[in-house]
Formats: sequence, structure tokens, C-alpha cells
Amino acid sequence: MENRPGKRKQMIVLVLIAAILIISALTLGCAEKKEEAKEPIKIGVLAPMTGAPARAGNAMAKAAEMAEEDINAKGGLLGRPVEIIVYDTEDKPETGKLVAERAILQDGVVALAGIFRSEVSMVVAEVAAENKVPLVIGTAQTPKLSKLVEEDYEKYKYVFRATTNATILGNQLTNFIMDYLAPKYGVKKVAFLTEDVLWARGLTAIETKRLESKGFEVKSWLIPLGVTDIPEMKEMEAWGADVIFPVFSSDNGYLVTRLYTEQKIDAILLGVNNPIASPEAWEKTEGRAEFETTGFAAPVIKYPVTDEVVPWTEKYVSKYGVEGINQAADTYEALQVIFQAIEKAGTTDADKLVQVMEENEFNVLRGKVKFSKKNHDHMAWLGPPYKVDSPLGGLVGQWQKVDGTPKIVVVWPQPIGNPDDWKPAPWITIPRP
Amino acid sequence: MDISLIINGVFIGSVFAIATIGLSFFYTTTGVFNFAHGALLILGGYLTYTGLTHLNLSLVPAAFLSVVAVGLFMTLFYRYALLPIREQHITAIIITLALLLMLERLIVVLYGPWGLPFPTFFPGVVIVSGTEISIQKMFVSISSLIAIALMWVLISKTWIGLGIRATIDNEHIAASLGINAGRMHLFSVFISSAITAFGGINIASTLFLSPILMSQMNMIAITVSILAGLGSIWGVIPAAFILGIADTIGASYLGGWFRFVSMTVVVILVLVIRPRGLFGQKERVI
Amino acid sequence: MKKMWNHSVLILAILILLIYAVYPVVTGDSYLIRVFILIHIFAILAASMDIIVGYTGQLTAGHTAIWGWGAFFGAWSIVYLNIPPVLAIIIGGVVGALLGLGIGILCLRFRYLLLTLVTFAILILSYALARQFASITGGELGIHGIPVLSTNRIIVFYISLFVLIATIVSLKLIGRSEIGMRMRAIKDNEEGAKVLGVDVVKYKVMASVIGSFFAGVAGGLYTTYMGSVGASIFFLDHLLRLILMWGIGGGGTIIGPALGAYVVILLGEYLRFIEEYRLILLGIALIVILRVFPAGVYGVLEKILSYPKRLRGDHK
Repeated sequence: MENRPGKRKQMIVLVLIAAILIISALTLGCAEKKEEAKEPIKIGVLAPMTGAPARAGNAMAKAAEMAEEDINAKGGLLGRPVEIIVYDTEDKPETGKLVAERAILQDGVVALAGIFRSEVSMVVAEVAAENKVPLVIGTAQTPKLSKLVEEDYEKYKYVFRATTNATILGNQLTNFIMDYLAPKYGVKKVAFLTEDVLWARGLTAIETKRLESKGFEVKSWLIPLGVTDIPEMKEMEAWGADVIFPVFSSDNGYLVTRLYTEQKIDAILLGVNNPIASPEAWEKTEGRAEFETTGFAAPVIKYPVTDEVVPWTEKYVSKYGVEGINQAADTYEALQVIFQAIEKAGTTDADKLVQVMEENEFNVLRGKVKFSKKNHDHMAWLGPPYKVDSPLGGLVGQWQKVDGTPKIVVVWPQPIGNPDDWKPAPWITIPRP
Repeated sequence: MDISLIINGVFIGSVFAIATIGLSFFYTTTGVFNFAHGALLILGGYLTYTGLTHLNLSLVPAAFLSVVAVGLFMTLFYRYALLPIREQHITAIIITLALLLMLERLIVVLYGPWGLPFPTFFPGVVIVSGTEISIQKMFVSISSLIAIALMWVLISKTWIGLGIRATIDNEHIAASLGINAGRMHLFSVFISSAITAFGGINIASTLFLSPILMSQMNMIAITVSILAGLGSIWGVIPAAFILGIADTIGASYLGGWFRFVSMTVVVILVLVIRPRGLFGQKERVI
Repeated sequence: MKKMWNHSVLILAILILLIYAVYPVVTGDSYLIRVFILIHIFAILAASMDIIVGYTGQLTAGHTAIWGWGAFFGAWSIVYLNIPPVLAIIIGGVVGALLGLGIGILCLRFRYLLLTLVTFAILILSYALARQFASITGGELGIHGIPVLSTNRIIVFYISLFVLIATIVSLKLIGRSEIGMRMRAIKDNEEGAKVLGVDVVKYKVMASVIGSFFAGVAGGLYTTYMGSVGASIFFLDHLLRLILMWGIGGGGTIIGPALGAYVVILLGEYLRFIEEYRLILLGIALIVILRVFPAGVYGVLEKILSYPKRLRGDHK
């Protein structure tokens, strides 16, 4: 028994070899980074495929798939095929950082696009800056991102944002209240019903200031995430609200619509309610969305802001359905910017791409994108033909039944929409006392 | 006070009650706290959706199928994954957490991460002394209470119920009286999961159907069961109404983020001041 | 003979560790190193959870809450007090230990399920607080631009590896000492331990303080590696993953949960192609492991390594 060290040694050697094999297999992934002529140009899209915003993330991934097909159908870029890889950020910063590093260091992408959550976008911006890879953000909206570029240009010059924030939409909605509803129906009191998330609180603060400066009476109610009932709406009615202004992006927005219609709240329901901004909202709410006014994105209502947007929407919807189409369009546009920049630059060199992106305008789905040289934000305030749609839409529309079929009627801004098409719900006291 | 506020509070209370009673009953009989409860609840709604749309069934068979399916699934899961180790409390809790994780992901994979249309079965309203009440909400409140009443009859008036109660009181004595404790466990797991699935259908038809409801309803069910007292089946009903009415009225007067925090504060306060809750006995350790 | 075998296992372990330790020097900065850094952080967290859960038998759901506050305090100490990032790791640990003391005392009156529920509520409350006090926590956006340990990832790799080894060694030493034995006695039978004269209160609080110290250290590491921290650190998802690591690795062994971190994160990386199904698969794996091999991956490895010994029957 004592004299069998040979077998033991064999065992040790075997285990050692196994360990070495495993480690070298792990290394293999990083080792293959060959540059060949026909090697595809790789671009990474970061999207939250899991976690709370998975609904947006799935749409972003599908848009990436579609963008890849479209560009390769046109023969790719610089004579090379394009490969778009989607990475799941799991809606968490450390995973966002990890997958961004995976994309850059292991898969060798030449640019990154996408990103939903603002916290993740800040972390990924750091990774992009450190590794000098252009990043075109499609959805995240925090103003802190453009501050980064403004304050430390040399480091963060790789970060761009091809979208605009929801304030544009908020302004349209409050303009509609101030310029049309107030003179016509005597609207004076606005109640904000705000979901307790960053962008919604920000939008509420900005619009409150705007409305108050015009002499409106404003009060806001903050709704925590994860409620089953919103008794606040009754309270708003008691306060005498003329307009209830929801600021919702989660599925709890269905609850707002439901409670409003069921309780026949005596106030106009007008605001940002993202679930209702989907073409399927009528079906999903069984028609309760009727008379609700909210912001819609051009692809959703197939409004031809450009020639491209309607055919694109039809193609996308027939392939993947309409869920999260705004975020899909945002991601598609960010990728279009990257494609065009690579084509114009004639190379995938990062610094050259940054220069091209700063100096040019890009034709994307919903208009032109032009980046500010100072903070690399898309300058949506230039107005059409530049892109004005935010991830939550840019046009004010109302769900109505026209000749028995549900329809989204665009009422604002003029002259795209006609405000006189707007109808108050039948249970509302008109004109306002 | 506005009468509609109270009516709404009663409705929310009955939703809370049907959403919690299964969790409480499950825990009382088996001694396993099911963290996957919220997922089972919403699974009931999703399976009914499948019955209604993919299988083109009408309401009653679709609801029946989903209730039976959820009941059977959980009974089998309990039999093979939990029953043999239920006395190791750490392992049991972790297994229910793993089930929560899996069901959550599975529902998102199968049905997509967004809300789905779920029909209101009884549209329309009735007017009682000037206040409009939705028939669907009335139906949900009444059917939830009827379901709970049926469960009560089953447990306190039938032979099976006697066996279950004996098992709850003392498993060893029950066994010596010839009651098969394992079988009693499976019965009660089936009953509690079935009533949970029924609650899920009610919730989907009055609120909405979306994966985000899983964690929301889980939190509510856990809070209600803690307020009622762990191990108290029937204490859930007053606790649900207290919390439901407090939530509606409290939100009207206090509002804001307070509501979200108030739920967790209720849990911590109850557990620190009176761990047995309002109606519970001392903690049952098996 | 037994001794010799033990020696060779030890040598083998050291050899593997050495290969692992020189690996980054050989390959240079790579993506995999960053994965390993993240694994180190979670491995510290999982191993430190084990002293509370696996040794003392208290299933705490608040471990990621302590981790999160350790990260926040580490971040604040860097941002407001300008201390070097390395010290922030220790500050994270101290804050963790203090929180562990508080939670340990608060939870003395709870056992079993109630303990889990109270700590679960603490986690949820932490998330609400981090979101609410946005002026100092950054709310949903979080705090960004915190100075990092080092921009050289290889240095971070070694620092985190060093902390991980230090954590495992100290926890193992505690576990093997008399303290660990008393903790195990509490887990097996609290009443019995009391009768035998074990100061249950002292050892329960001690486990909570020790475990929470290392959780806070992991938090400090997280903050100084990421350069940011936000309310998302209190997501339930982190807790569920931690429990996956703990259970799959094999609780009650300190090294097991740390191995679990490797298994869960590397599988997550290499099974990326099956997307959503990853977690479903890991969930099934956890249930099967808990039911069939409660000792987890570590237990299985131990069995394989001791196989030749038993074959020859010299385990007696």
C-alpha cells in the first residue's frame, strides 16, 4: 500500500494538466484577434435584456439585428461585412462595465451604441473613454453625460448622444395646455402624477416651473414604484385639478388609464404615459385609453417626418411587433450614425470617427442628427428637419374612436396636428369652473 | 370621507387577502415560507391568458385549467424538491428563492417582458347612492371572499380538513392516529397554490398583467402575512383589509414615497415590536 | 500515507493558485482579468456570507445591503474626505462591521424565517433610502467619477486577489478555531449549545460582525474598482445571485461559496449564447445541488480528490 506513489503522481499530473487546459481554454477567447481584409466590422449594442426595462432592451436588440441585415444588404461598410453584437447589461452597472469591456477587449468592436439606464450609461462612458472607442448613446437621457464631455473634452470626446431628452416632449404637452386648452376650456390647475424615477421627477420640475411662470396653479403627487392602486387621482379631483398630468414609463401606466376611466375622474388626462403610447394600447386597455392624450413617437403613429420612417416602421412591426418601437428606433438611429460616420471617414479609427461625427450631419430615420461640438449632444432644439423625437415621443396625440375604429389623432404641434380635433371625455365638466 | 374611497379600500383589501391567503396557508401547514408566491400568483394570470388566447377557451375552463395547472405544478415541486428537506429551513428557503428566480425568468422568456392584454370579464358599472362601482371589481371582491370561504369550509368542516388541521397541530400525533402527514401536506399545497392562481386571475382582470407584478405582489403578500402573524391563516383577512384600507386612505392623505417605505416599515415594526403579528401564535418551528 | 496524500492535495492547490496568480503577468491586461476582479469581489462577499449562514445558521438576506452601504461609505470617504482608495476599502469594512453589530443585535430575537424576513426588509429599506436621499447617494444615477484603486487592471487583480485570499484564510482560521466550533454548535442546535454553556448571543453577534466586515470590504473594493456606486447595488438580483453562489459552491466551507462565485460568473460568461435561460439553468442547478449534493461543488471536488485514498481503504 505504501509503495504506490506512481499512481498518486499520475493523478496529480492529470489534475494539473486539466487545470492548465482549463485556464488556457479560458485564455483562448482573448487570444483570437486577427485582422483580415474580409473580417467583419464589429459594432456592439448594449441593452438591458433582463431586469425591469427588459421590454425596451428586447426591442433594442431587435433593432440591432435589423440594422445589421439592412447594412449588409447594401454591401456592408468599406467593402467589409458588418457584425452587430448585442450585449445584455442586465440593467446593472457592473455588468454594463463588464460587457462593454468584453465588447472592446475581447470582441474588438470599433464602436458601441445603445444603453438604457442612466447609471449604466455613466459607467460605460468611462469604459469607452478609457479604451478610446466611440460610444453613441441611444436612449439614456441624463444631462450629466454631456457635462462629462463639456468638462473633460480630451478624455470623454468619444461619447455622443443621438437622442434628446424628454423635456422636448414635456414642453409640447405643456404648450398644448397653455396655448390651446387654457384659452378654450379655462384650464387653470394642473396636477402632476409622477412616477418616482429620475427622468420623471426632472420633467415634472421643469414643466412645473414653465406652467407656474404662466400663472397656472400646479401641484404634484409622487407615486412610488410598485403600487396596486392610485387613490391620489381622487384626491386630485377633489383639489380641483383641470388636467391630470401623468409622468409614467413603467407598466403601472396601465393602472392610471384604468382608474381614470373607471372612476370617471372629472379632469383631463394628458401627460406622458408610455404604455399608452403603443399602438396596441387600445387593445391592452380594452378601449380605456379613449380620450387619453399623451406623447407619441413618429414611428408609432406612422407619421412621415421623413420618407424613411413609415416603411421602416412597417418592416419592423411586421417582423417583431410594435413593443418598445421608440427605443428600437433610437438604437437603429445610433447605429445609422455610426455606419455613416465609418463610411465618411473611410476607416474605423476612433479619433477619425470622432472628428467626422463632430463635423457632419447624419440622415437617420426621424430626421437629421447633428452633434453639438461642445457637449456632443444631438441638438434637437434646432427643430425639423433635425430629429425632435425623444425616446418617449415628440408629437401630442389623443386616442379616439373615428367612425368606430380606434385611432391616434395628432393634435399638436401645429401645423402637424390640428388642436380642434381634440375632444374632452364626455364625463368631464366643460368649460372648467 | 368619500364613500368611493372606502369601497375602493374594501376592493384592495379583498385583493390583498386573496393574494396572501395561499402564502399563509402554505406556511402554516408545511412550515416552508414560499418566496416564489408572487410568481405563482401571476403565473395563474398568465396561464389563463394562454387558455383564452392560444387555446381559444372561454373564461371558466381557462380559469379552471390554470388553477389546476398551477396547483399540480406546485404540488409536484413540493413533493420532489421541498418535502424531503423541509426541516432544513435554510435549504427550504433557498429552494423557494431559486424557484422565484426561475419562474420569473421563464415567464419573461415565454411571454415577453411587457404587459399583455387581459380582458375585463364583467364590464359596466352599478350606481349605489350616487357612487359608481365597477361590476368587475365587485365580482373580484365577492369571488375572492367566496373562494376563501370555500377554503374555510374545506378545512374546518370536512374530513380532509380535519386531517390537515391535525397535521398542523402535531404531526407525530396525527401520524399515530393514522393520518398520512405527507399526503396532508400535498393536499394543502394544492389548495393553497390553486387559490393563489385564482387570485392571480382576479388581479390580472382588475389591475393588469405584466411581469413587474410578480415582485410587487410578492412584497404585498409578505407584508400582509407578517402583519397577520406567521402561522395564522385566518388572520390574513383582517390584516389584508387593514392594510388595504390604510393604503388607500393613507395614500390619499400622506401620499408619495411614504407608501413604498410604509410597507417595509410595517414589516420591520411588526417584527421588532410584536414578531407574532396581530393574530399569530408564537413562531412555529418544525 | 494519509498525510502524504494531504500534502499532495495541498501542493496541487498551491500549484493551481500559482498558475492563477501568474496568469495575468503572462497574458497582460485582458478582458478575462476584469472578469476575475469582479469574481474576487463576489467571492469575498459569498465567503463572508458563509460565516453567518453556513456556520451560525442564520439565513441573512441583508448581506448585500451591508455590501452596498460599505460601498457607499467607501465612496463618501473618498469624495468628501479625500482619503486614498486603498483606505476606503478598510473604511467600507469598518462600516460593514458596525452595521453587522447593529443588525446582529437587532436580530438576536429572531430565528429562522423571521430573521430572513427582517433582513430582507432591511435590504428593501436600503434601496428606498438610497433612492430617496439623492443629494448624497446620487439616487438612481449614482455617484460617478470616484478615484479608482489603480487604472492598471493587473494591480487591481492582485489587490483583489490578495484581499480574497486574506478573507478566506482569516475566515477559515476563525472557522477552525474554538469560535467556529461554537458557531457550528449554535447552528446545529441552539438550545443544546446554550445548555452546554455556549454564549449564544456573543457568538451570533460575532459572526454577524465578522461576516459584515468582509462584506463591507467587498463593498469598498467594488466602489474603488467601478469608480461608481448607485442605488442599483441594492437590487434583489444581487442577493439572488449571491445565494446561487453560496448554494452551488457548497455552504459551510468558506472556500465553497468562493468557488461558487467562480462557477456562477464564469458560467454566466461562457453561456452568454443561451441568454435568458442562463439563470433558469443555474436555478435548476442550485435545486439539484441542494437536494443531491448538499456539499456543493466544493464537496464534490473534495470527494474526487480523496477518491484514490478511499479506493485503497487507507482512510481509516
